Amino acid sequence: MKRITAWLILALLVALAVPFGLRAARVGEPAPDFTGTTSDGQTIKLSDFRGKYVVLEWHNNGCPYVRKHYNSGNMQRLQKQWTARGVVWLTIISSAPGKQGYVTAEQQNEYVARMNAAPTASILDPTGTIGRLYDAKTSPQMVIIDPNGVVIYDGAIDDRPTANPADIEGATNYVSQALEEALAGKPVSVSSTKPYGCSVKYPD
Amino acid sequence: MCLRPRFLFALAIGAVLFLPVAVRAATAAIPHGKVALLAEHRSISPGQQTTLALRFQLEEGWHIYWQNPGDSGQPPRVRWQLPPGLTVGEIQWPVPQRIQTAANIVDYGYHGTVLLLVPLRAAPDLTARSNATIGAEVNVVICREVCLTGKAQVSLALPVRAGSPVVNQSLRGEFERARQAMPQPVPTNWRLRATQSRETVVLYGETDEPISRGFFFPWEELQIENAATQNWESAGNRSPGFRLVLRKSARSRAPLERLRGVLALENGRAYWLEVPVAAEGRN
Repeated sequence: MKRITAWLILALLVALAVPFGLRAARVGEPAPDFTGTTSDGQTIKLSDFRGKYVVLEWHNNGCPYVRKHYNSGNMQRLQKQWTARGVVWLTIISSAPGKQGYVTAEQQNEYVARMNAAPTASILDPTGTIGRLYDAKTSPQMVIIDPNGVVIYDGAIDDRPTANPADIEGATNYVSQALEEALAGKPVSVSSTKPYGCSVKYPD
Repeated sequence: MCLRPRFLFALAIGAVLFLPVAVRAATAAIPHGKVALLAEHRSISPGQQTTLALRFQLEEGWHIYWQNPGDSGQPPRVRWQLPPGLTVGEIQWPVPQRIQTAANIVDYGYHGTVLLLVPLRAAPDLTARSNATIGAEVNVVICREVCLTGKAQVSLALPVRAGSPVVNQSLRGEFERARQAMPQPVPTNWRLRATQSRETVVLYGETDEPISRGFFFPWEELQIENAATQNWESAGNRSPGFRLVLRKSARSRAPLERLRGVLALENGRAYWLEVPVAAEGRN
């Protein structure tokens, strides 16, 4: 009995360790597939978008770094610019219930309308499962997946790691840079950067 | 345009009453705390150096960040306003704390009261005067579970006088403690080296005494995975030493040339180290 318990504990530890280290998304490797529930009540799978570029945007509407990009209209501009060119844009909210940034489906729909945001969909991830699968550490954190399902960018939204909206002008936007390059058939020049922002508010 | 004398008078009174408070306050509020600008000496001497301190006092549970914030957050940024002839050096950062906010997120920062020391140098030809005003605009990100941004303006006026500056006795203990909180040079009889594999970097130390446990704070971002377990092994008492296995950052594929940062020991001591890392496959 004792031995079985020990094995169970070991198996549990391994299962817990996997999402945090070994399987996390890495640039150049296949993007881990996931199923998510959108704020519109749809169930979507990442692999449904095979054949298209997909942007993942980690979001927390109370975080000053996120507000920098939404109150200035920068994030919405990016969403419109790239979805107009056929890119799928998924806003992912990995805040746990009771923590900053957690929203219900209605609250997120209201936010998207009020902010005039234009993601393809907002995915509610209150258990943090998708966040951990991608080892998302901050909001915002940006991931780009190519039509073959390979991660081609993971990191910061731009090269100015501050919460100050005045720093948007003149910044190099890594998402636009990577998508421009990839759509032109070129290799992505900056494919991995350190994401900046608030820590993702995972469940305790 | 003609302004009535009474109005001008009121304006002048207003300026006298409010401006010094607004512009010269040595202490200012930030969200969930305050920041003060302090000087170690009571005056500035031409050609000499003194030390300034930005003292942050934070409400319980709130923290600010080290110069490498770790996985999230941002260090305080300071914009100095200095009269000609005065220059400041780099901020000296005390040993940080490890702040884990989730299983995969580790930040580095400070709780409670923390002093960031900054050297202030005076040019030899600085002319004596009753007051030289040193100002600092401090931009800070302060977090508990949530993060807030704050901006504070603090100022300090010090006379410029020839001769040796006098220490401000009331702050002496505080500056002393602040210096003790800084990482110290590695003891000269220690031997350190580091090797690496694709995934890990290993720091080996031969020390003068047994050390039960230590923790490495990376000075630069993207040296190591902040949230990964740091595997510490102590060598025997006969030849004391340690081996510390760190996981390299998954984001930097290039081999590490050196390991830079602070090694904080369980016994409370902390050392600044900079160790060249041997190329992969070499010991």
